[in-house]
Amino acid sequence: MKIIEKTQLSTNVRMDFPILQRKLVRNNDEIPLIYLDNAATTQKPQVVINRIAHFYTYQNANVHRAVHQLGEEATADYENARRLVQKFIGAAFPEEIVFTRGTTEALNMTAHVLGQFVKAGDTILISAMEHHSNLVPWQILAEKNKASLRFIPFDENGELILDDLFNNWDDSIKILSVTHGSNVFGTINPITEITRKAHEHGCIVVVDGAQSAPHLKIDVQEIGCDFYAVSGHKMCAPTGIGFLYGKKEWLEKLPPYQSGGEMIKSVWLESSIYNDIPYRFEAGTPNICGAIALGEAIQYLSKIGMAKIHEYERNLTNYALEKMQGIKGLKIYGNARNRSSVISFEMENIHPHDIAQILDHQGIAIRAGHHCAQPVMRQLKLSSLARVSFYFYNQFEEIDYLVKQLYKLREFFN
Amino acid sequence: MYHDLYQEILMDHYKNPRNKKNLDYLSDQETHENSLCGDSVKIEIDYDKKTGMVKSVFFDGRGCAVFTSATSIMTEVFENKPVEEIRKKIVEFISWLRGEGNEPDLYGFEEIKAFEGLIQYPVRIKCATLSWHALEKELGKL
Ligand SMILES: Cc1ncc(COP(=O)(O)O)c(C=O)c1O
Repeated sequence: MKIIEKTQLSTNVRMDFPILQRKLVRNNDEIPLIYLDNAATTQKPQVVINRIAHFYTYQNANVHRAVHQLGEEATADYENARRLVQKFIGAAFPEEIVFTRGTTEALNMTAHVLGQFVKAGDTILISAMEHHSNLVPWQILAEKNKASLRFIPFDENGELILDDLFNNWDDSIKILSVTHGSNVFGTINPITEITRKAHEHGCIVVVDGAQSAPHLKIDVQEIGCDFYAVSGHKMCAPTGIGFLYGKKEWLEKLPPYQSGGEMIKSVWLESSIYNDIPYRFEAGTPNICGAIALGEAIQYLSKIGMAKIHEYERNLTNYALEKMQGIKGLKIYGNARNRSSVISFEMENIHPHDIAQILDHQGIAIRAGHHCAQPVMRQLKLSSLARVSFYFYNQFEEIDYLVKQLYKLREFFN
Repeated sequence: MYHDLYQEILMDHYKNPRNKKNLDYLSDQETHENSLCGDSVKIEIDYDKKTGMVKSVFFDGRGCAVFTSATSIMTEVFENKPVEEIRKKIVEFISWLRGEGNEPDLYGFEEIKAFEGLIQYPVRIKCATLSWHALEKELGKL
């Protein structure tokens, strides 16, 4: 048996998150909240909450159009947030960062603006483990342009089967869009290798980074991908903010996504000249405070260190996997060699909704459902799965408690 | 005991559902689905046209404890009952769980009290009412 060391990240990170001190009332007793639904969204540290309050208390103004002091300050902070994101993911230029509402909007934007590069008979390749947000936009584009959509299959471990694709590359593939981290299996896909192979054939590479950027050190230049989409709310920032990284040479030749203010340079009644990047893709007043708060979250994460976060989460996940595998009748879906802190499972004779509801009664928040990946569920012949997902503020003791409750649950239902 | 919601009655119906049988002969079009979780159910009605009475209700489907027990209890409640009355009771049951009406009188079946705890879990009400909605639709086709 492997011995997994109960490492410490830093004792005080939990104190940085006020919600983690919250108690829940059950049967007139107060019990601690154990939040294990981090793949859905993460909690926010006090510094981020304070940054939001500070912005609206002292700084609120629109960006890029005011000559007054507040406007200048808001613009400076908003643009500084862009540079923080740039550094965080290793992009070459700040203008390669387009602020969006999140991953979903970033992927929709990408599919929309790349439309002209997909002709009738071309192929768009994605994987069979995509979240709906990296599937439906491509379905729509494929249908509109009379292209076909193909899928990289996954095996019983939840790993992509790439040999066939690599050995018999099909030159009709014009775009490849794949997730870096699976929100069902926790698999971290070999995105650098996939990108290199696709680029050998001149194929555009788009990466869904929703489940990877919060947990790993990302370097988009090392990966080499053309586009990379991220949600802020899965990495300590508020909801409603995220970004799309796009290589400068791509963004510069692409048309706008939405139109209106901010995205144009000059407007006549009949036509307009599009603004420079990244503003061309940021039509209308952006989520200014959200972007600034995302910058604050990135500084917070960087101070702890993404490498440390990854290592701690890996220990935590291995510990949980080992303990959960010991529960009879519990089956884990996803056994990739390289994985993140997501564990999907089912229990014999217990519906995932019942697992989630009874755990909630014990103060443990987990997810049950199809995880916005219905094609994955269909391939597994399941309608839903239970899922726990950790972040760096989770503790080994919380996993011990979870496992104890899972044993009790099994007893109750059998 | 875990929770009001998972009282013995519910667990009994979950582990030994009544009037459950294989209804593979019914097509996908006749499957009723909870789009939230993907659980689904098929309903068969044994109906006496002459008297307007439902003799029995059968179901086929797999789902959570709330869904299974609510379905199993429903098939027992509506054994040998007139169609028009069943329709009324279904509406009453659903509005009760939505918190919009009083607890309905289901021919004295006390089991339904077990669902009272559901009223605070809007998401799970869909689990409890899936089969009741399905039966309502199937009755409309008679
Ligand atoms: C892999 C993956 N892609 C995309 C998304 C969509 O992210 P958002 O809802 O923040 O746009 C999610 C969120 O659950 C995800 O897990």
